[in-house]
Formats: sequence, structure tokens, C-alpha cells
Amino acid sequence: MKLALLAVILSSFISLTTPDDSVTIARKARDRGDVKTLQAEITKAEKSLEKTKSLDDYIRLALFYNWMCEAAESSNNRGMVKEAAQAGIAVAEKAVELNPTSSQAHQLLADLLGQLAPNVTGGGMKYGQRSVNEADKAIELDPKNAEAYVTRAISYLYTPEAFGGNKQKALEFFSKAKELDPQADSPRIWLALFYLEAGKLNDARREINEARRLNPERKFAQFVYEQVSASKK
Amino acid sequence: MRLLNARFLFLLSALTLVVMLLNSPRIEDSADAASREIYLFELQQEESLDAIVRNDFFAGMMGDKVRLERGMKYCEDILAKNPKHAEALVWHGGGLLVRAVHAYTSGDNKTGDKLWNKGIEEMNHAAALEPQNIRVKIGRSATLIGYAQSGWDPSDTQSRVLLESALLDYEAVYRWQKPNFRDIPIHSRGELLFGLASGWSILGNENKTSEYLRLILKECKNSPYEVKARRWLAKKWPLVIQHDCIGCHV
Repeated sequence: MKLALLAVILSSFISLTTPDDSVTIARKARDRGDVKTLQAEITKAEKSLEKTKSLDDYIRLALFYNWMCEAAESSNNRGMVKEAAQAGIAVAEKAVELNPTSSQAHQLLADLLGQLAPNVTGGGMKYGQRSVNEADKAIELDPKNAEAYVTRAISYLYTPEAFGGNKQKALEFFSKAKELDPQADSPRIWLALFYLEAGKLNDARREINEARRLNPERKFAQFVYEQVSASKK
Repeated sequence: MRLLNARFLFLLSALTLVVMLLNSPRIEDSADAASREIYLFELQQEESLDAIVRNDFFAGMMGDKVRLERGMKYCEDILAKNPKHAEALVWHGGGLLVRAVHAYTSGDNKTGDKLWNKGIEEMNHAAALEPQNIRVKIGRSATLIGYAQSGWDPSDTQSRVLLESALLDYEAVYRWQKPNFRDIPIHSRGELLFGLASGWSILGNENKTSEYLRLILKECKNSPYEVKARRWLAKKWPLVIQHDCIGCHV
């Protein structure tokens, strides 16, 4: 009886969950690498989308798939990263179609293409340039979109120089993202990675410590922190 | 967590394709001076196809569609007269991959897939037509290793088979070139051996990866290749060797 009551209370709580709550839950699940919770939020977002077909719901679902990629990576599940990226790309493409002037929609599409590329044979060749183009478009539409600068910076960092890669530009774009959103942990995590690869360990340590202070739960930050700590020795 | 490797080598890391023009074929052990002369003469004649189309294809890889189409047309004219011209086929197959990349970039995955598969098919056909042609072997292997470097799905069995065959062909190229390996430009030596180290690392073969990295220390002494190889050898397995073409002229 008590269990049944608890179930009723829980289900009514779930049904009262607002989109904002859902984003908070999903973000925390991404941080902890909690694939199960993220999957539940994705299912809810899909149901909501079926009813509304709204741009906001497409963007929210694409965002959750993008976060699922990170959560799946934290458990080394490449198959799941690939599936989430593919599903997310389809949703982000729809969002772009619905509103071609949405910077966030272009940024999510860019990021999801970037997530897919390393998990498909020849993926960099197939999806790399499109990801770059989408990120450029996101920045053009909203020059204050910090996430878009992070996405573009990652491309600059990992693209061979002959094909437009540029380490200096990567640093510039990560720094710009940090400047635009000083409370965001992502630009700092990537800056730490950048500095780590450049052998600037003090800078790497400073950035990753700040990222962990801003968001102590994120496994990605923990992973980078461990890399930085290992390099110190 | 694999995030450090997750977004490696965007775009056409098939820069290794460049190897196909820089690895001049070498004669085998048994060749005497006379056959070497004949060989070099024939080589001069044969080089015309590479010389004519190479810059157009590389411009195409960099996004110049007009020049890509010019190179493709040249190959198509050859193939219209001789559909079994293996070198024209391998170049044409590579060109189809570039066309595929353009289609993917525009968001047309269906056309991209079609062109991609056709390009691979042509390269495989070229290799089957002339299994002893070193240019065809290098062209096909460099392309297959290059695209595997730009992204890899370990559950993709077809790609695994292709990559293995590309690596075995690259090993054959090394064996053929071995007697004169030191005479080959450092760029060609380094790219060939790094291609082998990278490809075997993608397939998870630690012994072969390590073998080729050590060979780079020996064969590419006092070069940037040696420095890079030492860095990779210092890292812990498992790893995927990521290599950008050094000193590439593209």
C-alpha cells in the first residue's frame, strides 16, 4: 500500500517535471555519466516532441542526445556514442530546417557531427567539413554563443593544418568562449586539454581546477584532471 | 574515458594519399644495371599520368571542384579507351571519394554513400587487375589507411578487411623498396612507415605498431619522423597512432 502510494506520488512528480527541470536532470546525468537517467529524459523529450513538434523541443532533444554522447564516452561505449550522435543529428537537422536562423540548432548539429566522426570509418572525411560549416554558421548567427566557439575550437584543434586546422585559433576560440560565459566549465576543460597537449602544465592545472570548482561532478573534467595530474609526475 | 581520442583527425587525414606520388617505385633486389636503365626509362614514360592528374586531384581535395573534374575527365578518357587501366582506375576511385566528401559536406549522405562505395570498388578493382603494380598498391593503401585514421568503427568488419589488405600491401611495398630504402626521400620513408604504424594501431596490433615505430627510428634517423616515433613509443598501449603528413606539399 505504502509502495503504491509512493509510486503515485513519484509519477505525479514526474508528470509535473517542467522542461527546465528535465534539462537540469539530464545535465547532471551527463556530468555523472548516468546513461540510464539520460535515456529516460530522452524518452520523455521524444514524447513531448511528438505532441508539440516545436523548435524548442527539437533543440532540447538534440541537446540530450549530445549529452548522451558524453555520458556514453565516459563508460567507453563507442557504439552508444555513435547511435546517440546519429539520432541527435537527425533531430538537429530538423531543428535547423524549422528555424535556419537558430544559432543553437546549428551549433548542436555541428557538435553532433563532431561526435559521430571518430566513431564511423572515414568519419572525419565524411562529416568534418560539414561540422565546421555548421559551427561557423552558429557563430555568424549569434556571435555570443559560447558553445559554438567551443565546438569550432575543437575543430581547429584536431584538423590537420593543411585542411584548416590552427592551434592558435583553437586557443583564441576556447578563450573567447570562456570570456563569453565565465561560469561555464566546458571552455575551461577544453582549455586544460589544449594546454596539456601544448605542454603548458601550469596553465592546464589552473583551467582544470577552475572547471572542477564550477562543476565538481563532471566526469569529463575528472578525466582531464587525471591526465594533467599524471603529466605532472 | 576516450575523449582525448574522440575527435581525432578531422577532415581529410588522407593526406597520406600524397604518399602515392612521393613513393617512387623501386626495382627489386635481383634487378641488374641494364634492367634498372630500362625500368627508369619506362618509369619516366609511365609517370605522365601521375604528373598530369596529381595536382588536379589534390586541388580537388582542397575543395576546387573544377580541377577535380578536370582530373576525373582525364582518367575517364583513359578508361573509355582501356577500362582495365589500373592506375587510371585507382586515381579515379580516389576522385570519387573526394566527390563523396563534397556530397557529405552538403548534407547529401545518400549520394555520398553511393560515391564512396563506388570509389572503394574502383580502387579494389584496380588492385585486382594489377596486383603487382606498386603505384596502384600505394594509391589504394594510402587512401584506405588515411580514411581509417580520420575515424574508425571497430564493429565495421568490411572496413577491417579493407584496412588489413591495405596494410599488407603497404608491407609488400616496403619489402620491394627495402634494398634501396635509404635512397628514397625521407618524406616517403616516413610516411610509408608511419602509415603502417598507424594502420596496425587502429587494428589493435601492438607488436606490429611497435615494430614499425622502431623501424622509423632506424630508417628515418635525425628527422622529425624519428622525434614523433619516439614520442609514440613512450606512450602506453592501447593507443591509436595519429599522424599528419609531415612537410606535405599540399
